[in-house]
Amino acid sequence: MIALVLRRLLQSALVLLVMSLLVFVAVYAIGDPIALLVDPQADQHDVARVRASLGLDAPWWAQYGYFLVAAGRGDLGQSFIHGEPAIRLVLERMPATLELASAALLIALFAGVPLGLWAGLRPNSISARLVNGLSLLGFSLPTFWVGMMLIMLFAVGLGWLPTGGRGPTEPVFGVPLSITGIAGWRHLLLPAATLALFKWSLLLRLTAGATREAMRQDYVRFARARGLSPARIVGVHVLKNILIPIVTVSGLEFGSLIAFAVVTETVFAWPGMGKLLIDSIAVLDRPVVVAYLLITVALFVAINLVVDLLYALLDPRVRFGSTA
Amino acid sequence: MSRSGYAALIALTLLVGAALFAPWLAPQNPYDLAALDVFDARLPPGSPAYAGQMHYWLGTDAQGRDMLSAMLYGLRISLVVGFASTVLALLIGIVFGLIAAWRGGWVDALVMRIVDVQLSFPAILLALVLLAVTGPGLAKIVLALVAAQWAYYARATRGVALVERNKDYIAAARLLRLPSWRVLAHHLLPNCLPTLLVVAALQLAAAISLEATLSFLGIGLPVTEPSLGLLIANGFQYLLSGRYWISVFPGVLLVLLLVSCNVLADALRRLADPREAAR
Amino acid sequence: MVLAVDHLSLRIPGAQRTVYAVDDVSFAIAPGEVVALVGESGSGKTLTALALAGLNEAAVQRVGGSIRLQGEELTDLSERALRRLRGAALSVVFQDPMATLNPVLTVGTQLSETVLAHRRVGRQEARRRAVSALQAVGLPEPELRLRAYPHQLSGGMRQRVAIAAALINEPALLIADEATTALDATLQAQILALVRAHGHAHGTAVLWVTHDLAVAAGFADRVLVMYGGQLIETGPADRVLRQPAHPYTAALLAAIPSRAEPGSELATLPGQPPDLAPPPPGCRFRERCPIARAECAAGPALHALGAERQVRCFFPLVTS
Repeated sequence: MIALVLRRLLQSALVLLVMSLLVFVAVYAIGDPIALLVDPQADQHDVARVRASLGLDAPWWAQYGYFLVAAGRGDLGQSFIHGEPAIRLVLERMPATLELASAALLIALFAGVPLGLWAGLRPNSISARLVNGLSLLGFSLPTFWVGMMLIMLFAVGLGWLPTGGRGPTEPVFGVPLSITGIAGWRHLLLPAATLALFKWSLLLRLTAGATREAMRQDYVRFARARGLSPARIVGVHVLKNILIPIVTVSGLEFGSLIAFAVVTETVFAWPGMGKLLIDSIAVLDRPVVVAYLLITVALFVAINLVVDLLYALLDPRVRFGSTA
Repeated sequence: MSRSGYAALIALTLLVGAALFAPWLAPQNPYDLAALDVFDARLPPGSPAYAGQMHYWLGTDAQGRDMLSAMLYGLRISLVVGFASTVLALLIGIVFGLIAAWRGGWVDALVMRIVDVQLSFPAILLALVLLAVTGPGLAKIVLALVAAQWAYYARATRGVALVERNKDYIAAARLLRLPSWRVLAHHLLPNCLPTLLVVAALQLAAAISLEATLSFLGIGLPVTEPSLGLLIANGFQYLLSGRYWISVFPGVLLVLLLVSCNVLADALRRLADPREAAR
Repeated sequence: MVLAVDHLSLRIPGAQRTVYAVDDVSFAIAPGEVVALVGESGSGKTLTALALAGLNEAAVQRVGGSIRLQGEELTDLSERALRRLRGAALSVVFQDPMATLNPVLTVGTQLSETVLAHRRVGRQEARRRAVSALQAVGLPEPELRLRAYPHQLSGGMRQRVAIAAALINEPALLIADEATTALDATLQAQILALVRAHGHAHGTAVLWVTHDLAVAAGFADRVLVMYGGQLIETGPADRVLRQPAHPYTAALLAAIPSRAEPGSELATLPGQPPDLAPPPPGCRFRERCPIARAECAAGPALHALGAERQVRCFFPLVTS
């Protein structure tokens, strides 16, 4: 188990290094930052001096080295617009995004898994077809439009919920969260439901398929032969097996939730790092874009690591290795 | 094919037809600024025009543009982007997938590692970054979509090609010393097509949806080429004041398009894999 | 009698054709008796065995007949009532020891849940019974095995665990469906000896379903041979196997390698088992029978051959 953790940690560090190189090269390829920093009237000599003072006369691999060293110290440059360290801007908005993505994942899980289980247990019924059609619709609806329709219905039409923004936050272990109060939940409900829709469809399909598959397995037949109750067969024997793919996929999809939060945050004016990214792209605030990308990549790598470990925890065949 | 599959095929054909013949079907040329009348701005559905005999059956937008016409032209742009990026990504994916399966060894390992890494990152993030670098534009968004989607086709092609490669008829073709490209194009590729068709139908929907999303975010298409996504975005601010039609109608059309694609893909998948259909 | 099956018939209705899979099967098993139900795949032996426990797929319909376990009629019981019997009064063990146990639950969990499903005992007591059940099937270090997951055990050990789970509530009847087919010959012999000893010691009736006559030979007290959905020969194992009465039984015996004369060619049975949708009229073995005559078109009934044997043939190879 410890060897597994160490191996995964090493792999994660490697991926992070490669991605930082890619991001660096992409930014390096976009253009010469000197043009932005130096007065257009400056002569050749001045340009060379500024270039040297910023270390931009060094070959690209040396510059990458400086970049890595600075990144290691947590320095990804200053925002052109806000005049603050880019990394701080992104990190400040991260709790809002993680709060939104976590809420969406929970909604998708609690609405998708039981329904998928229910449909998977009656594979050829009308209700199973209905669930299949519903998940197909969920796949097809574009997130941003669903968000707008929900705003129209629940905020503008019925006036039950706010049209956007985040509720008041309170620090929880130093992290500002909005889910401590009713107002926070009222703000969170619509954006989280919007973001959850696609993953709900996915989990619905996955659970229904995995349940159908599990019910055909010999261990279910043997469990029936031992006179176990249907509740125990489904709730323990089947659920423990299908939980493995469900947890794996939910974990991996959490990254995609963070990415798609860009859209949801824009629709609902949710002050997360996705909205920051869109705003920064609009005003060409490059250091913030780079900081967002690197932090997101690091987040993805961390998520993958956690999923791998969870997987090992859930599946004894992975945890103990196969002896047979 | 299932009945819902045929229904989706018919709906898709009608939508493509409507987009193709938009100049003849639309009551108004939405890009002809001379045809627009500011007095007609933000009219609800069914309103008569301030001047002339025309009725705006689906209302007008902030510039007094007939929504029905704008939607037909928007559908055109959405479909052009969707089909162009799908065809290009398909071609690139086929080439890389076939090369990986045919050559094997380190070539295969390299291509598939790139594919794996790329697919572990959400397509929207990749497209977002590329567009942030290149700026908005029709060709640029097609490029971004191709970059975000080629890997799906490469993986699907390689998967089928690997299975086919080990079959006797390929060995026979190789023994006859047919040139590699001939074996690939005439023998291997046709067997990959059913799978690729399913992936393409799914990815067409994904591409159209992604384009609409990026345009909604304001980094996809420029305002001069309003796709359905951009039309929806334009109506967003009026939604809060109850002028629903500017966003809702283009959205319904977009959803219709996406549902048709996905239902068709589902039907094709069942057709290509009867074992799946029996479930 | 622990089990009495009378005139059991099963069919599988289909959109185009209905398969008449089991036709009028009757037999009984006494306490402690080990009975082998032998036949090729498609003979209806597995459907017959699973019907006793109500474990066939929903598509398999019982057309008629009765199944009595310790005097209780099972065919009238609800699924709920049947479930209370399964794992308690009668148990079933399946073929594939790799797939029979749940891969994500420990051996201990799967054994004790079987106890807890039927007996009003605490977890401690269930655990204790699990240990002694593992001991009974000859698994070394049972306390250690309780914490193991199935993949950590060998195939033979897994099948012992499955049998321990089946016997843990001391059922009156144990049904085994090809339970040792996937194991090698030595393991198979060990497990058969174990089950036989347990059956004789505790008075457990055993119905062992197999395609392998050699298994029946060394292990069973009595043999039931099925062909084309019907019983075609029954009787004490030693007598049926030494002197088969039905030509089909004889053909099966001739095809066992260890019984053939060294150097001689193995006899093989030409032809295919009959299509049961619907079954052919007359004797169902007629097409493949070396001694078939015109009379066989009428179709023989299962009739007594002496006191202990029965045969479904107009021209049995032995006479009483």
